[in-house]
Amino acid sequence: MTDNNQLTCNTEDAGDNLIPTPKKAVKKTCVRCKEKPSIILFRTDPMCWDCYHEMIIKKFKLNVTRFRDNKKDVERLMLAVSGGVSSRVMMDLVSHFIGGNGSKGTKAKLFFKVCVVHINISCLDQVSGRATEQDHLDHAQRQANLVRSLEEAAQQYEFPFYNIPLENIYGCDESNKKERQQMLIDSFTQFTSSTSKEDILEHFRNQLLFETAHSLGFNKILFGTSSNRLATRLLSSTSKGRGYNVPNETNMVDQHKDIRFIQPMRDFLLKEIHIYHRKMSFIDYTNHNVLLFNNNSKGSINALCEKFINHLQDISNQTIHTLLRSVDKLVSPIDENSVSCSICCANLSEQEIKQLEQYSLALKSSSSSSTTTSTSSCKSSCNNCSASSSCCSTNNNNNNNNNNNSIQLTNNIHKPTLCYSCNQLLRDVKQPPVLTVVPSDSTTTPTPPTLPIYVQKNSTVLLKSYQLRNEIKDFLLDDDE
Amino acid sequence: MKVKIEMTGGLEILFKNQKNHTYEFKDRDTMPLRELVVWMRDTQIQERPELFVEDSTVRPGILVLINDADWELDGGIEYIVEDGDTLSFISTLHGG
Ligand SMILES: [Zn+2]
Ligand SMILES: [Zn+2]
Repeated sequence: MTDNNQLTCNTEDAGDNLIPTPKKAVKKTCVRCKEKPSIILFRTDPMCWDCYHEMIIKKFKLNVTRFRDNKKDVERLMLAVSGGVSSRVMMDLVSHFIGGNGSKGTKAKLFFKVCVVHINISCLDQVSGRATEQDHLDHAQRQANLVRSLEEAAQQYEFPFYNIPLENIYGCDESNKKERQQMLIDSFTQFTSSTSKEDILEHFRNQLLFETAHSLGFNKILFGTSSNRLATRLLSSTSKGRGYNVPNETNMVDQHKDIRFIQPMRDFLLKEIHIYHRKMSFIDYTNHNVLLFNNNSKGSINALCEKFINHLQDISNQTIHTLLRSVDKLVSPIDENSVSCSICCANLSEQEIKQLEQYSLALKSSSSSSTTTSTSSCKSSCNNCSASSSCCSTNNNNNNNNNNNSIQLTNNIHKPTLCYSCNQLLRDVKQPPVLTVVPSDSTTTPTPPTLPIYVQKNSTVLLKSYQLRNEIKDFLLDDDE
Repeated sequence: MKVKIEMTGGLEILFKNQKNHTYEFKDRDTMPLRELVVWMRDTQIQERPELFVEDSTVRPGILVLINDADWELDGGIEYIVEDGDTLSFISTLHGG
């Protein structure tokens, strides 16, 4: 009897305080059907597998359909799967709620078009510093198994499957695949810390998913990120100076505004997902032998945050949900005037936007050399760039769309078009990064990291739009006078 | 008493790269899970035992199932292991 009271108290107070989870046995019969033995303590409710399965499908469905614009339109969902436990379970949940696999719910199936995309990072194997040749072979074998198992699973659900190699971030011309792979490897090797490597991987992966969704005609990308991972990301983003963007990372809308990144697993704890995975007898092909970029025991900021979250969650199993609920209360800064970072698509803060405005003004005035009034502002905004960069002269090259000019663009990253944390990221390299259109065939080492063309495109578009805005402003002012 | 142990999610690497283990304690009928876990750390792991046990409990981030059910239903680390139990340890660290 006292047990029950305690549990009720917990739920009521959960919004504000973290109450240590009582380490006491809970009644073993399912609270829903009051019949079958429970297999999971879901929040504070013991539940049997059948009731748990039913409930989790319902919750998941709600999380996906919440973002449906028009119920009469066909919903086009692209599932981003890493092959890990969460994304594997997500595939199953999607199939369940649209009635895939030849089951009864065929009516719902008419309204959903689903595909599965896996970004294949196997070429980065060389960056992780595996010890022996055998390790490499083992890893390659595992990777092949992973892709095959994902493909088979997708087939079973009748979802088309796409395996996209990460090196496609530099283009998808088959003839230079080897060069693109090398470029990727070189770039990752150039980043100093494992945190930077993990972050740039994340940005590249998201960008590639975005491009893939765009070319396949899907307007929603579903990620299998669990609440544990989101809470970890929340913490690590804050510590990397990305706090401004935190509210968007749980329901991120990309900069082109026509493809949404959705996190339908955000209510589920890894515990809940793993139990599901196990009950369905899915096989986990993830390579646990080496954490991708963690060779030293210190680990990355991301890993430290994960550890911290796990500890808090162990003290109170309300921690993660409390954290994520608090973020929901924050106002999302996305609005009409939002400006996205050219690398990671995070929103720039108001101050960063102001700097960008000044920078674009400076660029404009330096290109039309007749105006002398703003040279001083040009100088001041150039202080934002590193000493080596020659931002004010870049505009001369801008109109030249010839691909061969990529080398001239060396060091000309428009830093004000990047968010704070991406600027930090680019500082964490052994050599300053370059922008390149075509893979360079030079084999000289060390090669500086090469940023994919999308960064340059985003950056140019952003600057152009600001220049245009400035011109219109001038025009309007003139008209007034 | 005899218990079956299952290690997944990368934990098996700590345990001689074996997923399945059976331990027998001839002189015992039951054993507190805490005691079992510490015994495993002290006798079964060659390297980096801190990845399995922290502060005399299972390291946070490792999911424990007792006879295929969430260990939180059984009081977590305070559970008393009985003859014939199957314990599963699943690392949820870094594998989304
Ligand atoms: Zn039930
Ligand atoms: Zn950024």
